[in-house]
Parts: sequence; C-alpha cells; structure tokens
Amino acid sequence: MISHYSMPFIRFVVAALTLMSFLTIAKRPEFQIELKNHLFFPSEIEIPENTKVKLIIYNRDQTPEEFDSFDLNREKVIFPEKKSVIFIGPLPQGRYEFFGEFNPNSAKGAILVTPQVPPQVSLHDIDNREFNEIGSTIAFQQNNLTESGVVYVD
Amino acid sequence: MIYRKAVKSAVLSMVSLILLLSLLITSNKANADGVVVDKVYHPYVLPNEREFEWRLLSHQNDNGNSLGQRLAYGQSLTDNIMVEAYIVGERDGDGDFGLSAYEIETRWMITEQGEYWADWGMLFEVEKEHKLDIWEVTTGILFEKEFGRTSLALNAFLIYESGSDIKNEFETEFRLQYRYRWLPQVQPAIEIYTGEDYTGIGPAFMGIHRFDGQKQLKWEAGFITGLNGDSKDHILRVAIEYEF
Repeated sequence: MISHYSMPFIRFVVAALTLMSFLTIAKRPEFQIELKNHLFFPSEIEIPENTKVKLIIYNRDQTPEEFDSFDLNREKVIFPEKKSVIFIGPLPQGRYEFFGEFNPNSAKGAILVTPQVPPQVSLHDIDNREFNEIGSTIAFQQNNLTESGVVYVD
Repeated sequence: MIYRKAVKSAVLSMVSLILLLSLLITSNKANADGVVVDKVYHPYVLPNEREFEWRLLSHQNDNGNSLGQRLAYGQSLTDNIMVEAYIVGERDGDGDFGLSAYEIETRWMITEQGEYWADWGMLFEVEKEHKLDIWEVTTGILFEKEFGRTSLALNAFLIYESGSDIKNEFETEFRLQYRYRWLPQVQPAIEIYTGEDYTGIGPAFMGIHRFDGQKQLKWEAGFITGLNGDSKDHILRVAIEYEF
C-alpha cells in the first residue's frame, strides 16, 4: 500500500520523468529524401556534425524499400507511397553511405556530415504540402530545399 | 503527438525502474539450476521480417560436457513486435540428444532507433519443459546505446520458475555486449553474463552477410569463461539466423 507521505515523491518522480521525456524530444533539424523509380532524391545530403537529426524518407514507388546503412547503423522498411522517419547522429564529420536493400544497384546515397551550419528554412513553408506529384516535388525542392536537401526547424 | 511520446517515454522509464527494483529485491533468491549464457538481445524489430534461427551452446566444466541446441522460427507481427517459437534440445546424462523444452518469445521495440538517448525494448518469454511440469516466465528490458562505431547492449531479465517438478522461485539474469561495428561481416565484441550464482565473460564475434532483398544471414559466436572458481568452466555459443 502506498503511504500518504510517498505520494508527493511519486508525483515528483513522474513529473521529472515526463519533463525529461519532453526535453529528449526537443526540436531537431529535419531533412527529407524522396524515393522515386528506385532512386533517392537528393542522393546526397549534408547534415551538421555532432547533431541528432530527423530524416524523413518518402517512398513514391509502388513497391516497398528497405533503407539500409552499416555506416549509420540503421535499417528501416519504407512501405509503398508512405513515409518513414529515421533518427541519425550525433555523428562526427565524414561520409556515411546508405542504400535500398531491394534495389541496391540504383537506390544509393550518402549522408555528408559537415562542420558548416546549413541555412535555415522555416518548417511552416512545408507543413501542409502534398508530395503526390513529381512535378510538385521538384518545385518544392527548388523553392524550399537547399542543394543538400536540408530543411531546418526553427 | 508530443504528449503521447512523452507519456510513452515516462511509462518506459517507470517500467525500467520497477524492473530494476525487482532485480534488486530478488537478487538473493536465485538458485543455480540453469545456464545463463545464451544470447544478448537487441531492442529492434523490422516489419515484414521472418527468420529461421539455430543456436548451439556447449558447456565444458569439471563435470564434463553438456550440449544444448535451439531451432526457431520468428516473424514480425507489426512494425514493432516480433514473435519467435523455439524447440529446445539437450543431451541428457546418458549421452542421448532429445527434445527438452518448447518456448514462445515476444520482442517489443518500444522506441525508434536513435530517437532518444538510448533505444529500449522489452522481451516476454514462456518456456515449458517437455516431460516435466516446469514453467519459466521471463520478462526483460532490452537496452542499446551507440557510442560512435561501438554499441552497448544490455539485457536485464526477471524470471519466474514454477511447477510441481521445481521449487517456485524468482531468478534474475543480466547480459552485456559491447560491440565494435568494424565490418558488416566481422564485428568483435565482449560479453558478460551474470545470474544464478554464475558470472562469465569472454570475447564474441558476429557478422552479417546480405543476399538479395531482405534475405540475409547473421552469425554470432562467443567463448565465455566462468569466473566462479571451477578449474574448467567454458561455454561456446553459436547462433545463426537466416532472415528473409
């Protein structure tokens, strides 16, 4: 039975753990990649060193793909016409290659971890965008992404 | 969404705390009636994953050699839950090898890999001895944390043994693996196992070979030496998984 005096302590522990949980999901830089015709677009993206980032991969193909990277120590299935999220880092500078397990000859790419801080683009610009057509995707990339495919969260 | 993630993380932290407290409470109740060395689990599950697995455990000590093998089929049911069914064979005192137990195991990937400071999962396992009324129910926390090109995996298990052919009791086990991700095919590691009055440590090697698509072969081998005072106490463990 929980004593009368232990309740404040339990509340404190729960509150502290909840607070810590919120802290661990603080805003992170987001990066986006598209998979179309078994090719990654962009095939190379730059991310800042020593920073945990969120990589969102949109699979525009009608078949599943599995993102695989021994360098990044990540494996993730991306279902057809769905998106998947992969958390990467913090990493030191370097080149980290990845590929699609189902199409390893075409679906290839790399994460370039660089010391530069990528230019910031507001997430509000992309919140409600749809990626259903390749044309809109290209326009989106031209308007909002840097050459390295970076989208930065405020 | 953020609130849901925070609640999940908080619940996970509480579960870990409860399990660790349970381990502390029950740590004096363990008796030596089994082998602790087996395999260090990782808290990851992939959807659409199916696998066949074979494990071998050869234990050499002052009393001779004992041999155990496991055959298993596993399949992921959802994005984060995988179920595996085992049949266990052991060589008995007469030197005959035969079926000794059945087991069903569920692994639950609680957090996305890399999302938080560490990755968390849970393991639930029920094992029944073939011709004896002995049941073993295991609950465990699976933990993994990356440090550059190395990975630290920890397993903490709380086990309850019951049945008319065994004294009902709680046991605890702890497993550790510190792995260097050198090459996909060869990844050296060091492993530590404790529980049931046993402590063992030794080197291990593991690797992966990819075929087409999701097909891949994973292998592990470890040579664990007991630190409990026997003049000879070595365990060779081998595991091969074919995923497809």
